[in-house]
Amino acid sequence: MDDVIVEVSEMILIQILGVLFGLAMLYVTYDYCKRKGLKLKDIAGWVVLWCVFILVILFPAALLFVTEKLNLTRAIDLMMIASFVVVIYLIFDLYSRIKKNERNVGKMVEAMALRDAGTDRRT
Amino acid sequence: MKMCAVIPAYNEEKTVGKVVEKTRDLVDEVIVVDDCSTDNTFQEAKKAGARAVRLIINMGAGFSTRVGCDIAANDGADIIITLDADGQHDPAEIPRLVQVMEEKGLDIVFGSRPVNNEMPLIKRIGNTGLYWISYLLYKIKIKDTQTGYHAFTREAYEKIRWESNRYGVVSEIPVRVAKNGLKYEEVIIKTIYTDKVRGISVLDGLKSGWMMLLWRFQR
Repeated sequence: MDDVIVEVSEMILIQILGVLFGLAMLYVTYDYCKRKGLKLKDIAGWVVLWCVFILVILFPAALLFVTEKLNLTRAIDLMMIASFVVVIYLIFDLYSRIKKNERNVGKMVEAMALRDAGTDRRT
Repeated sequence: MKMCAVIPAYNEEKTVGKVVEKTRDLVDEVIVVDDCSTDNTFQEAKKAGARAVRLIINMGAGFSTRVGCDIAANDGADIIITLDADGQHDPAEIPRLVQVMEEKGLDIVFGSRPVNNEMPLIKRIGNTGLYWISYLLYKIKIKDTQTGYHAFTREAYEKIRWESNRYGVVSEIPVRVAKNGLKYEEVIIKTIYTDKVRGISVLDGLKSGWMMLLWRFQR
């Protein structure tokens, strides 16, 4: 009986921490949006992500049907895997955007340098 | 026959002037591309008689060299020579590189540093590793693939015009030489190693090896 009480109280503590983290991240997102002058549509994805995060923390049982199908024992495992996938996707997305920006900046700098040198690009 | 020397430079105010002075009598034009230095590299290069071009932001050695070669090619240079601004490449070797290129009808000559005890150990290990990678992947035999000292014809430049913006350029050039079937040779040059010589780090060397592998399958 005592073991069950400890387990439940631990779970609730983790949930409280999780919800506080989610709310803090929602505030950071809002603050960032306000300071950088971004529109709601620019950060809508992040707002949805953090709301889903809070809901999953509060109602982990809602994911049971998915965890069972994937042979996962806990909802937290599913969240870890999903987070990993999202992070990998974001890194790839950022990498490709940085590369594209680098190419565009390069073209601009090159054009300016050749203009200053009084020659046009031929190749 | 017009010869242009291209010298990419980043914060090399102490050496770039001397390199330009030693180079200018050996070629028709010296082009220094200042990669947005925070010191007086641009002014020193200009004072020494170079045609100096300044990039508005720091883009890397590969980018600067490409811009310099574009300027040289646009202005009708028949032969382009690239060398470093830190003084490790002796400009007095330029006539020898050009002579070998002309006598043997080559497209490009690599001014290779001798891989001996004078070369720092870490560079020796890196160079040997990259030599084997480039040989196994591209069948190209250059002892010092990481040299920034080259002489090539304008036609060859149009074929090897690289995309790497940073130090990857020195690995990309041999790869493009091999892929385009250009005629090449390496000439051992005198190299001056000083404490101030920066150049390619271990990480750059590892990246070069990785990029060589990718280029083998991508292009």
